[in-house]
Amino acid sequence: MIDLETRVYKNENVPWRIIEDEAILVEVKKGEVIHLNDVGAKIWDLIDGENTVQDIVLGVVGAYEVDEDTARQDALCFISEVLEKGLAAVRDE
Amino acid sequence: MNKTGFTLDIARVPVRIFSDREKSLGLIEGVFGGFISRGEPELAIEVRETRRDIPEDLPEDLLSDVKVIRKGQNIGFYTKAFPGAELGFFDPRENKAVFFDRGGGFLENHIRAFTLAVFQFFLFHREYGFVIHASGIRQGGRGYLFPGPSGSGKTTITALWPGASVVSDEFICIRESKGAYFMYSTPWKETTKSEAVIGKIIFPRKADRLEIKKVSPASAALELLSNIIYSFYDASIMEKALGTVKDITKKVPCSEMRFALDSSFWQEVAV
Repeated sequence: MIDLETRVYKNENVPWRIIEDEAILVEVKKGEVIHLNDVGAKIWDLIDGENTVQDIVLGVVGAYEVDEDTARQDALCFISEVLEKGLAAVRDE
Repeated sequence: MNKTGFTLDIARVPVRIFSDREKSLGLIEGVFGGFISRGEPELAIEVRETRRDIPEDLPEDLLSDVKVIRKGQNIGFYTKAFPGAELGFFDPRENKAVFFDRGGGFLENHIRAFTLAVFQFFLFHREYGFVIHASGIRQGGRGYLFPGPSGSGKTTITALWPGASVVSDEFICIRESKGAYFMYSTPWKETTKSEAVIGKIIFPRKADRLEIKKVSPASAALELLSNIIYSFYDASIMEKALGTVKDITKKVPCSEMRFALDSSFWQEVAV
């Protein structure tokens, strides 16, 4: 379970690149490539083990014309998904 | 015993094939004859006799039965159907590979599958580019690359393009030189050397009418990665492939093309 104070880091075995405003992530073992749109790419870029979920939400609000509630919902949904897929993990405090 | 051999030019990489088995060398020379060249080798492949029993029935599809396994610092190539049958190995530190020739003489598809795999891992390790499932056409000094899996229409395109100079309709090597990306024919399907600067990348889709539209660099990168041979081998290889693919999609315009089975597309593409 994550909350706004949770810090999340990227799985270092997941190759990825930001390409223009979008992103490509690769699940090598599954042989799958994941394409993220601009908002997904922004959230992924901000996942660094240092930013809290709230920092990420504010990063999205600063980058796009979106209110904080919507950004929070998007960020929580996206982060839950990447955690579930093993693309990222929660940092132990 | 003396080891003799010859040098191939694969995408402008000199590859030395050598052995003390003259008969095998003669046969291999026959398979890759159109690519024989000169030059200081950057990659060396030795053909060595083995008494191990390598089965004869490796499928026609060069890639479907080859399994790649890391063996310490080396990369081993096996057949999936017969796990005990090692085709050979590649040592990326020395840029050397050994192909195990059966006592009874090599099998053409074995040497094709093995050299393709070795060359791809050599390119990955040197960050030199990659071999991709694609067809390619050269016209008016420009190259048009059509990446895609079997059934996507890439071979149909080469057949329908009037007067096309086909670089390849199956395996193309892509490499960067002086800021531009080149496509090269390869000896695994083609019999002659050919190259062109890549001017456009077009992802083909069979449809009932013609429609061409630009795709985002990230979408193009996704499709390119999906067609690079062995790119999903491990994360470090994928890292290298990703870096190259990102650069290509930045420098070369990428589109997707829905097309019917007629030649009307080429005038739209070659603009």
